[in-house]
Amino acid sequence: MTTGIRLEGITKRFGSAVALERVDLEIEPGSFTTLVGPSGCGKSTLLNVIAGLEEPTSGRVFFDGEPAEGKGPAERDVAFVFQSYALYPHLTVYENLAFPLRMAKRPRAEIDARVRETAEKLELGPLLGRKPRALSGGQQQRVALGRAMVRRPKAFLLDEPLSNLDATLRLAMRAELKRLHREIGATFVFVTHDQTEAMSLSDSIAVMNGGRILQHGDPLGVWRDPDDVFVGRFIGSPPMNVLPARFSGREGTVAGVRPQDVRLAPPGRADGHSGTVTLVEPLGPEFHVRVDSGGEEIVAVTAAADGAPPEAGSAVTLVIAAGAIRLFDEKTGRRVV
Amino acid sequence: MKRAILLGAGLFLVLAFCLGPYVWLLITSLRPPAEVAADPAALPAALSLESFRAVFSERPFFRIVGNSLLVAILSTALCLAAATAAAFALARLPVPGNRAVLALLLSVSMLPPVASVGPVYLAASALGLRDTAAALVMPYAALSLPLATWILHGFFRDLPADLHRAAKVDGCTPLQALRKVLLPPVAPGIAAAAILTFIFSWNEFLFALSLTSTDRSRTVPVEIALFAGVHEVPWGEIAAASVVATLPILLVVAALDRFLVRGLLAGSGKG
Amino acid sequence: MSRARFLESERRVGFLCLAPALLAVAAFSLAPLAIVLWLSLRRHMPVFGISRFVGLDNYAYLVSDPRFLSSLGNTAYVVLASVALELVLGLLVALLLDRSFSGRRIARAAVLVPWAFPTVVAASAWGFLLSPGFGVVNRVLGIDANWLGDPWLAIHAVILADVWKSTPLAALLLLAGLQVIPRDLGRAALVDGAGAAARFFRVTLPLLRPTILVVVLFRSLDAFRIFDVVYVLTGGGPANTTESVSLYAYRLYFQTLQFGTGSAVSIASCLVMAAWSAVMVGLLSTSRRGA
Repeated sequence: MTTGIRLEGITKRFGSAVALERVDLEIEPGSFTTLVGPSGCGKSTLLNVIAGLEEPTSGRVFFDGEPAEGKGPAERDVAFVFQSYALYPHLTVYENLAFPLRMAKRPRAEIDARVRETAEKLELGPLLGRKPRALSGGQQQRVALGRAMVRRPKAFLLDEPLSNLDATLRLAMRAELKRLHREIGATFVFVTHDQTEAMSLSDSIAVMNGGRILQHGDPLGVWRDPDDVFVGRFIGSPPMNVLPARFSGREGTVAGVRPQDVRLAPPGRADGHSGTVTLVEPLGPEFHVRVDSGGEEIVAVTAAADGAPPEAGSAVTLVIAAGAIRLFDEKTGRRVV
Repeated sequence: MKRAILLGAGLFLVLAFCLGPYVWLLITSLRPPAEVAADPAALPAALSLESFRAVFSERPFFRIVGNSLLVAILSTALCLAAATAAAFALARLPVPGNRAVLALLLSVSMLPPVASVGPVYLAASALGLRDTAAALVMPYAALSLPLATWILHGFFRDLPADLHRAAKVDGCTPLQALRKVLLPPVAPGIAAAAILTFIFSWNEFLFALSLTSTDRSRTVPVEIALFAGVHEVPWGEIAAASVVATLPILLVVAALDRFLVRGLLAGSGKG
Repeated sequence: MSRARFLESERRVGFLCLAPALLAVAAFSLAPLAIVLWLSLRRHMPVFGISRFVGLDNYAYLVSDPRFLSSLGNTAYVVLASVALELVLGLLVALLLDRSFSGRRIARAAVLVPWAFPTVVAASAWGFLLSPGFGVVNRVLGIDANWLGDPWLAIHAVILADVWKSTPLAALLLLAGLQVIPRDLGRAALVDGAGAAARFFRVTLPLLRPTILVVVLFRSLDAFRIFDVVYVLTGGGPANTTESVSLYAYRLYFQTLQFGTGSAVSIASCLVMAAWSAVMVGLLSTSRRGA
């Protein structure tokens, strides 16, 4: 079961502060869509609006074309996974999973069956009798997921569910989530500030900043063709280089170049920009090389397979293919063609 | 929207219930005594300060209020001095059995006052201290000690441990550390404990009733309780006296409610 | 100086700092308790110069003393009714104050007013409001109840005045307990389809249990000691039907000057309170482990 979600002109104000400004978004049924952006960009607020936990100041939410106003989260048939997990501390894992079904007044046999089935899927079987505080972070997170899954909702809304996990666990859960999405097939809306997470998990990402969606599309496309300087710098690691007009070749614009597209060549070439290496960071499979060129710091990424890069202090030429340069308006940051 | 109206109505009811009786006292105190005697429950037709005048001129109320103030201020000062020192010792100095001492203080505070009033009365009589303010100051300070110590202990405990260590490194003796480094951040706790102690001393009834006999040392609560005459109850004067009796409390609650709340919560283990 | 000597000097200072407080407590709480215990085993009437050891005679007397038993019953009833009412009303007030709205601080301060006033004033005010004939309460309700003259009504008048005075503290404690519950739990329950009632009974209330137990413990011990309200509002009447245990002890001390019997009553009430505390503390620690 799945649903398409459409947001039209969502604006949300808290007093005089504007959290969301005329946001339009179309989420395909069954997709894994991530809302990604820095803290305070409004992504969690937008998720709450979709869930029905917050009423928008103006604008409308549609589920499969049906307007959602006046409907609470349960009526919208969405499940929400909180960053803090929000497990009921006084109930056992079993009762936590059963809670939404009890609220829906399902028959006891059905509740039992569904709880056990979900516990099985998430390897929570042996933990059913425990209380949340006797569980590890990873186990708590799975219970939070399970409580959402047990309802078999049309949409899953997840608010930074992996942020409280340590690095290894986070990677493992990322894979888990992706696998679950394939299996369940419902619409997933995921919120995170971690762009790597967004890139690896999603069918489509929406990059947000300052209460607005700056770009929405498939991850690779957003990475390759950012519509906005902010998007270019937020997505991709290390961030896109933003270079002044003399690199872009056009007045009033700045050039965006991915570090992966900056090649290091021996000094003295005429078809590049001369510079001096200031810092080399060896990361194993690649090197991040910082080069100073006429006062601009440019980051280049070289593969370990290509051998060691020039040492700090050496002179180099930076060669950038014309096709790798994206032009952005100097003032607005928007892409110019 | 409907929810807001419901909440507003609920809030109004609660406030009316809490403040209603007092507002009624206030109104009654401002009515001419004749009116009050005639129909105490009617709404005022005229306003007058006659009841207040009667309270102060026909009874030694000034003296009584003075007694209460003296006793409350002295007992608060004594109590806070002892409690601050004790709390500091329990929280920051290597005293053996400090948890036991705290538990003892807490349990002692649960004793009914009627259990201690007998011997204190006998002792006060023996010492010739009956009907003096001094007889009340010491018991009040002692009765408020457990709560004040508990509150201050919490505040001292919440200070970063490094503060005390830094003071030691800088050459402070324990008492110097207390005075110069630890006392200032704990000041809100002292304010909270002082307010609670003051309110307790001002309002206390049983000990005052038992240990005082004349207006030489009588305090406000006892005086009000004695207003009732043999044949009639002077409600106007009682109301006026009550208004005066509660004025300092009102000021404290209005201005220092945040400290009051902190003290109350800390005193019940939630602060 | 060496570490050992430094520690020792700190310890000495510690003892010095503790001394005044401990002395005060010993002098005004522990010593009186010991003396009262001793007195309870004697027939002691200083005015008549009588003072002799009588063993457990005073206690034996109390066990069959109708006035003592009735005072015990009155006090128990007041405690039960007051604490139950304060819990319910306090919870309502706490729930009301749990949302942030402009003027919340003023509301909270206003709610504290009944608590901050001398009990004597509260009792006087309610005595005034409940007076037969001209009391506002009777006027407003349109009835002519003899609040202070009818035994059944009088004890409820006492309960009313006590509830009025003590609910603020209960409300404040419950509010603090409410504010510790994470907001996400309510929202999770909302997402799980729980209506407001379900959210309250299945999520809020269970998590509030430790706070509720603390409130019940403090308030019941406090209510058991009730004196001021009874003295001023009903004087223990009519005919001692509202007399509390503390008031009976007071009367024994200062009216009939029987310090021995009065002390026995005091000790008896201490024992009851100690037993009740033990039960409540036991409940508290199991609830802390469980939740």
